[in-house]
Order: sequence, then C-alpha cells, then structure tokens
Amino acid sequence: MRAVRRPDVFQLAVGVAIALLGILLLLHEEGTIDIDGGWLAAIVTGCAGAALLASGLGAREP
Amino acid sequence: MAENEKDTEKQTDQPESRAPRRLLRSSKDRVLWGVAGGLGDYFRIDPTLVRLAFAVSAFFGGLGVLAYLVMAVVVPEDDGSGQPKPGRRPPIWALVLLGLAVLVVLPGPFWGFHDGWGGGGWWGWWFGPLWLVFLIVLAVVLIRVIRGRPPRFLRGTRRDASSADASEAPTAEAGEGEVTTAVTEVREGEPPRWVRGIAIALLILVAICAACCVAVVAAWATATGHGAVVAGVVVALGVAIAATAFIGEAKRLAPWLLAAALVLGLPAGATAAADVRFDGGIGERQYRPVAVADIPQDGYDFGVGQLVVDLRDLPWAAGQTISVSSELGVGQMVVSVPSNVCVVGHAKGKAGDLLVRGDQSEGIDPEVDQGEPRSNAPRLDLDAEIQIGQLIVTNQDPDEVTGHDRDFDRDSLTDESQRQACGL
Repeated sequence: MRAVRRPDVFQLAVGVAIALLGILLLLHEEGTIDIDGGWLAAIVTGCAGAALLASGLGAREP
Repeated sequence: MAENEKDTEKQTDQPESRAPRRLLRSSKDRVLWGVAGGLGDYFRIDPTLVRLAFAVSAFFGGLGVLAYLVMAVVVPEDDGSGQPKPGRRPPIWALVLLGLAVLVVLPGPFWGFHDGWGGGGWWGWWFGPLWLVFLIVLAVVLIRVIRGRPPRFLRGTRRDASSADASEAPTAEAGEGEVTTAVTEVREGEPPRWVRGIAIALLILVAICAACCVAVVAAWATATGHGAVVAGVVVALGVAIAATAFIGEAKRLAPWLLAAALVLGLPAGATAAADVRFDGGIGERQYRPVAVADIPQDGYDFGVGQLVVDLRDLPWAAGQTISVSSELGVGQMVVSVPSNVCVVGHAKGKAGDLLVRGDQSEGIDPEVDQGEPRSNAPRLDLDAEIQIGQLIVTNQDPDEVTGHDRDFDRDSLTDESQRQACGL
C-alpha cells in the first residue's frame, strides 16, 4: 500500500498566507474593504507570524 | 571511381533530404543557450550573423531578446547527433527571466515618457527596455559562471592549469592517475574562486535590481487601476505555494514563487494602502473652458504629468460661484483664474507643494483652506487634490509658471489680488 506523504506545513501556511494577502488586495480593489497603512502592517505581520508558527510546529513533529 | 562516389553520396543524402530538418539548440556552437548556433545550422548560415541579428534587434524594443529567451525555453537542445536531447526541461531561472522579459515589452515605467514629465534619459523610449535586457543577460552569464559553466569568452586560464596538472600526473600509480583525471574533468572550465565571488555579488545586485523593477511594475499597475490583476496573480502564487506543500518534486519551486509573491504583493499593498491613484492619463493636458457647460460634471482627473486648467475665458459675473473639482496623481497642476475672481474651497495633497493664490502649504499632507469671502466678486469654489507634486492656483498666464527649462519665481505668486477680490 502506498504511503500518503504528509504535506510540508510551513509551505502550506506560507501559501495560504500569501493567498489571503491577495484576496484582501482584491477586496480592496473591489471596494469591499479599505486597506490603510495600519491594516497592511497588521496583515503582513500576521502572515509572517502564521508562517513562523507553522514552521516551528512543523519542526517539532518527528 | 569519383563518379561512383558521388552517386553513393547522392543515394545516402536522399533519405536525409526527405526527412524534415529539426530546429534544435546547438550543443557545440553556443555562447549562451545555442539558439543562434541552432538557427545557423537550420538555415545553413553563419551563426555569427544570427547573433548579430539578435543583437541589432535588441535595439528595437528588445523583441529580439524576448524571441531568443522564448526559443531558449521552447526549442529542445541537440544531443550532438541531430536529435533532441531527451528529458531536458527548461530551468526554472530561465522561466523567471522569461517572465521578466515579458514585463519588458509591457507598457509601463520601463518605456519612459517622450516629453514632459520624466523627460526620457535613462528612462527614455530606446534605453528603457534595454537596461533590463542588459540585466537579464548579465544574470544569465553570472549564473553560468557560478555553476562552473561560463560562456566561451570567459573560459581560459584555469582549464590550461588543470591540463598542465593532468599532464604531470602520469608519474603516479594508475589508480591515482584516474583520480587526477576525474579532478581535471570537474575543474575544466571552472573560473577562479575570486571570479565566482564577484559573480555571486553581481548576481545578488542584479536580482535586487530586477526585484525593484517588478515591484515598480506592481505598484504602477495598482496605482493605474489594474490592482485586481496584481492581486489575482498574488492569489494564484499563494495557491501554487500551498500546492507545492503536497508535491515533493515541486518543493524547489516554492522559494521562487514566494519571492515573486512578495515582490508583487507588498508594493501593491503599500500603493493600495497609501491610496495612490495615477489613472486618467500620462503626459501634459490643458483645458481652457469658455462656458460653464464645458466644465466636466465629475471634474478634471489626470494621472501623471502636467495638468493645466485655464479658467480665464469663463464668463465670470459678480456674485456668481463656479465650482470646479480637479484631481492629479503625480506632477504639477496649474489652475489659472482672472485677477478679480475670489478663490474659495479646499486643496490638499499627500506630499508636495500647494500654492493657492498666495497661501502656501508644503511637505507631507499639505492642505490649504480658503476662508469665506466678504465681497460680491465672482467666486471659484475649488476642490483640488494631488497625490504627489505641486498645485498652483494663480491669476497669471499658465505659461508663466510652467515650462520645462526654467524655474518660476515663487515670489511672483504672492497674490494680493486674491485679498482684494475676496475683500479680506
């Protein structure tokens, strides 16, 4: 039976964070939300934090 | 005898001439990727002429360079026997460079501006795309140097030294001789360490420059109202990165995709957050309405450059108020009114210089508010906004305060007529 390969958690988190950033930019362009400097800083910091957290959790797994 | 040989040659040539010739990148006659060598073989012309044609075509918008890069990716490589080399995929960095080359031919800041704002020079029409093409070619050469496969014109002394070592080696035993030969093969064509160091430093510099170019394109696209396209690309890159988490073979793609996403997404986000808008056109635009009906309902809107709104020909009447709104992305906006008109309203910017009939505000977030008039003079109710640049509201001829070759006298804009017109 073929073993199922576990996904790379760090890459997955980074991908989701980048996609989220793109979706927020799209919503801003559509006029649904209004991103200002504070929002952008919070989004980027949040994305970086999520990626680092996923990296740390991934490193702890055997 | 000679005739028989010719007949035999004809017979052996016939089947080859019927088979279609294949366009392949040459594995023997190559400077970069063997495209010119392959074309030379295919058309049976001197490859140097093909290289010259590519070099000359680079001066016509860089299309020849783009064609070269496309062929380098699309055309398979010759395995040495006239057949395509099996299992050869285009390297990722070649695709990245191809993407950059496509950006070169897109309109945008790379192309520069003919006249007026920006004024050509390094960013001009001819040299705009070429400098990026230069960066791409430099990056290719540097990558090859770092990988120990420098172009032919950079190979030299090291190979000779290795060969000399190899020729002295046979004095040792047979086993050691094999080892020496292997080392010689590895070192063949490899540049000295200091050359690799310089190449790595230059490659980092080129990568930073290329990243800056892409970032400028992303910011520019967002500011000109194409931010949805950039955002869509960022989403696609994010999904692709997430997909690589499940595909082991694609793991090496992830850093490239992440770099592209950050280089595109962060400048686009910063531009969106700063609410910078350049839509409306580029260059110089002048409006001179002669009737109130000529003034657009939604105001004057211009992207980048110089916007002149000359209102001196309007039929101004005592007690009448004419409302005008005007918006500019980057550049200079000049609004000219007759001396007897009292300017009221509001002008603001994100960064720059506002000179509204004697009142001045400059720096970050400049703002000018004109107070309520105490006279019955004709009024201009102005609502002006600029992102970055200069706003001048004056009673002078616009030509007095514009012009590319001279600085106007700011003191001449101190406007006493505004005080008189408004009764202040």
